Amino acid sequence: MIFKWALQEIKNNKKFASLFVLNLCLGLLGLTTIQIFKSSIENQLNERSQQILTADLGVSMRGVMPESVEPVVKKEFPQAKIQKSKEMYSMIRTEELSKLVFIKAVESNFPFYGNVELEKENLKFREVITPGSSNTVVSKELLTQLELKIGESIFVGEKSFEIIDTILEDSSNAFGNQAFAPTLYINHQDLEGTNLIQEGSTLFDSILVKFNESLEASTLNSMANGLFEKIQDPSVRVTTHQQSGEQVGRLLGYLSDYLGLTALIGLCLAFIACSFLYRNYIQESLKNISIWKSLGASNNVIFKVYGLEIVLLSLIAIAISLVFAFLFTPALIAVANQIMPLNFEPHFEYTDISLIVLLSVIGSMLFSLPILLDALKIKPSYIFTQISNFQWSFKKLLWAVPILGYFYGLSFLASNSFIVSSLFLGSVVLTVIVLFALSELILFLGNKVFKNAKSLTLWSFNTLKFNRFATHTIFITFSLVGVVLILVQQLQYNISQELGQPETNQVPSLFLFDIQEEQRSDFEQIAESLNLEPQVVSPMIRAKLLKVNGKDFEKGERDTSEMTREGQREMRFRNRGFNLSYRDQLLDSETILQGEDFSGETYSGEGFAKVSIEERFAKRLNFELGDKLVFDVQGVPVKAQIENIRQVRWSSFQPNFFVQFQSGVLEYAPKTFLATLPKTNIETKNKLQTEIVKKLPNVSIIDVSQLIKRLLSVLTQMSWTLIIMTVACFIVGLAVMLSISQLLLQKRKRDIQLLKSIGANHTLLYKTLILESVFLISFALCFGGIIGVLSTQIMVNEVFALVPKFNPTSFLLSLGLLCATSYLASRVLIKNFLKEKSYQELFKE
Amino acid sequence: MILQVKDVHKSFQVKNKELKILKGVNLEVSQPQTLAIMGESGSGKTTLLSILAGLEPPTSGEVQIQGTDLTQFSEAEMTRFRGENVGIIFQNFHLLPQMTALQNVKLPLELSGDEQAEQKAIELLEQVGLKDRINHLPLKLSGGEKQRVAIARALSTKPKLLLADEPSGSLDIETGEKITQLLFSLIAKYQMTAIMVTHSQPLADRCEVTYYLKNGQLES
Repeated sequence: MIFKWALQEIKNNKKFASLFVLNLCLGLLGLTTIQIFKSSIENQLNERSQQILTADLGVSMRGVMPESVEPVVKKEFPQAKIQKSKEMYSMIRTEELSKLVFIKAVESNFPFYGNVELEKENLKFREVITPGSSNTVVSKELLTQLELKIGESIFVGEKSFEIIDTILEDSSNAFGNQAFAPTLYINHQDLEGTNLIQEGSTLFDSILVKFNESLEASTLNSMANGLFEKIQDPSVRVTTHQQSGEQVGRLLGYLSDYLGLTALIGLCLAFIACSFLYRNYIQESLKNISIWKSLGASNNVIFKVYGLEIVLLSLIAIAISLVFAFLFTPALIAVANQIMPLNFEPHFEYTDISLIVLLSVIGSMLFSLPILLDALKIKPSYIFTQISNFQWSFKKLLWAVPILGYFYGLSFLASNSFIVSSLFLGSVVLTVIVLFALSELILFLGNKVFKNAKSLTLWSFNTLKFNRFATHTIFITFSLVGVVLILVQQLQYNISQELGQPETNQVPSLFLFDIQEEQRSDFEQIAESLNLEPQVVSPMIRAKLLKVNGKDFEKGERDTSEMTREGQREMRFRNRGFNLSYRDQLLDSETILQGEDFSGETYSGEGFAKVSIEERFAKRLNFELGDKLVFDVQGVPVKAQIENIRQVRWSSFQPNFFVQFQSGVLEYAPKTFLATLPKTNIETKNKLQTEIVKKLPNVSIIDVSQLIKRLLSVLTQMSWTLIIMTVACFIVGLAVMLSISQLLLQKRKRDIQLLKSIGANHTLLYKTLILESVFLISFALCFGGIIGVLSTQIMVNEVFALVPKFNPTSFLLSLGLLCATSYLASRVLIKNFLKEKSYQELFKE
Repeated sequence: MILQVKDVHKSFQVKNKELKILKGVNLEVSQPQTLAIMGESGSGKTTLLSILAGLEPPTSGEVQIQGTDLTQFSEAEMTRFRGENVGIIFQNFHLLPQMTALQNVKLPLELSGDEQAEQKAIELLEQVGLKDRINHLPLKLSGGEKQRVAIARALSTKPKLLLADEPSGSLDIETGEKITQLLFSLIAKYQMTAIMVTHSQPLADRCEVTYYLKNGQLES
């Protein structure tokens, strides 16, 4: 019976029901799409994680793996199959041309899982990449770039290899390395002849493990933990295939986190609108409720009927939003495939859908309950008196607690980060409070300004004043949309400006690494012969951190899958090897934040050497000024004390280091050099590249402008996706505005008919209503836009440590576009409303 | 002759059926004159009043105010004409809730472009006995006071024709009587023609002529 009554209520209030469903559906659409997107990515990364890692378990490190590791692995897993792999960026050359490639040196049984498919159907990868064959297979684009044909030879380091075929599909190529450089496979044994691996070379050395049986994730994880404990060296990583999949998905994880948060704003707006609509609906239903009561219905029954009505409407909204989410997800997946070419496909889990359903229903109930519970207090005598006892009290503010809790939970679910979700919710609440105050201020000032205005203008303004809740709702909704849209857009502008303007911030054109000590003068000679002076030449020394303030430096947890984003980041930092450097003076991209600058001071040989620590690195490892550190530099303990903490502008693309020593300490340690060369023409760049590859074959060169291009393209794709999500938020905002405006217009039907009856013509009324709408929306969007710009400036300065920039053209264009769209929507609504010629409201008894 | 109604018919479509409300209403009203239209509920009194006010067009027939045929007007022309020549008082007062008594009365004057709107509105409110309540919002006024404001508003542009729909219908007997007295004294003062739709016999008795609307037609 309750169900039947609830359905009857929906049938009798079709307008409310359809507006409620429309708003909630639009609000849920973003969240639902993101959830399906997340599910698709996670599920497929999980399914293909063995192919991505090519094994069940990987033991890897940056740099050459100590010989002691392999016996430990073999001892720990005596039954397992093992193979070695080394991956690195290096230059290769033909007689005339050279190119940076991603070299994968693998054993002939590679891969344990997945496949490297070659163009020629009759050729098998394992039969081609055999030990001592000097065979290679390469990415197809490399042939074009180096003007090569199959069967011709290339030099990898000092060794010549014959190109047997090109790669058609490589299931392990998931990290997006091929986006920076094409892939080249050689046999692990053949790598020795290339002479590429030298002291301090940058490479990823791995031992891949395959077990005889399929293992549960938890079992594999505990086995990995056991091995990690036995290896001891904190710079050696042990990764299960599941974790490998998660790591690959990290970039997409960040994208979906932020998309999720933007979608949450849309959901928040939708709930505000639904709560407004429900409030209005319940006010109109008070008479019905009092009739129910007078007929003997208990509060319990009425609560169930109206509560069930909300649940039913929410379920309808979820069902519709799911249908549309399935339509939109492929577009989002296409973006993901552009960023990470893994051929993701849309996929969903029933648990995700259940979660969305549950969260939506809880959300709707949380927003509706305070209103419904208030309405239940009505007395049956309301039928006669029509006087409700709705009264504002501070107790009602307590409802904000579960609502905020609910949104905190949602934002944590979206971002998987306590800091991000706290910051997000804190900023949203703060912004809403500021906007509420601004909205009140506008009404207060308007009161003064319009005090002596013509009666019709006054009527219009007073309507805003008398419908404060609706006015604030529309104002806050539009301002929030303005904040988010301008924030995303200006943030993208700031980052792309920083990356994309090499002239202004002296971004180098070439970045060179793995220059051996004995090769330094040769490199400088080559540069000089082409009239190029290196911008920076920095030494790099590999080291391990042994002690902090006399205590052993704790190795981080290996398994980070259950951790928040912050926890994972800290553990990644803890478990990596340290690259140290020294330099006489600070670079332009460095600024001392705390402590003293020790530029020009040479270590006396007594006491602790002075070190400078990068700000965020210090924060993550809880380092403070004055902390005493002991490093293991190639077996020699080196004592140091933190003298200063500095900020580094990483986007300068100059060699920068987390730990920077004063001179006179590390000069005799084995090291390699990193160098940057200034902007030059393509011809000189090519000549330099060819010379270096010929004379210094182990040195790798990154074309920074190409790298920036790729980064900008990923950034643009990600920010466009975010902008689209924000526009979706704007559409929700527009729906909210239209729903509320329509309701307000309905409420003003009698006023409008009266005004017409006393001589206000159609044009005058239209102008008045449009002006009212434009006044409110443009103020809201402008304030939102300004808050958006201010937030961007703070974020760019505080989070990205960049000098904030402002793009007035896109700011004005976006605001103009938003205002124009809102104006057009209002225009359609008002025109349609004024078309009605009936005067029935005036003669109702 | 201020008002001339010739063979006015009005019908509505209700579920594909034509519902005939007025079936050839004829009426001639001279100036100044007070006239009451009585009839049973649903007889079409309010529909006739809407047609006389130019709020509703007749299905057929002619309505002339001072020789001008209202049925030929466009919507904008009708609104302007009504603003200048017709005043309407409603049973439920229909004051704009967000505006003070003064602002409510001032509104039609401002709409007609009267530069002395405020002064005239104050004078009218004084005449209806609300000198001390001019800056009150309708919410703070009693039923009788609200109807006084509504009367002041209807008279503000000094219309030639005043139409009233049950002017005392929402008030108690005593207040209703006071409002009726006030209304009739002002009608006399301004020499206006007034047509009142009512169920109240005492109110009808005060009018010079009374018509009954029966079967869609007026009977005297």
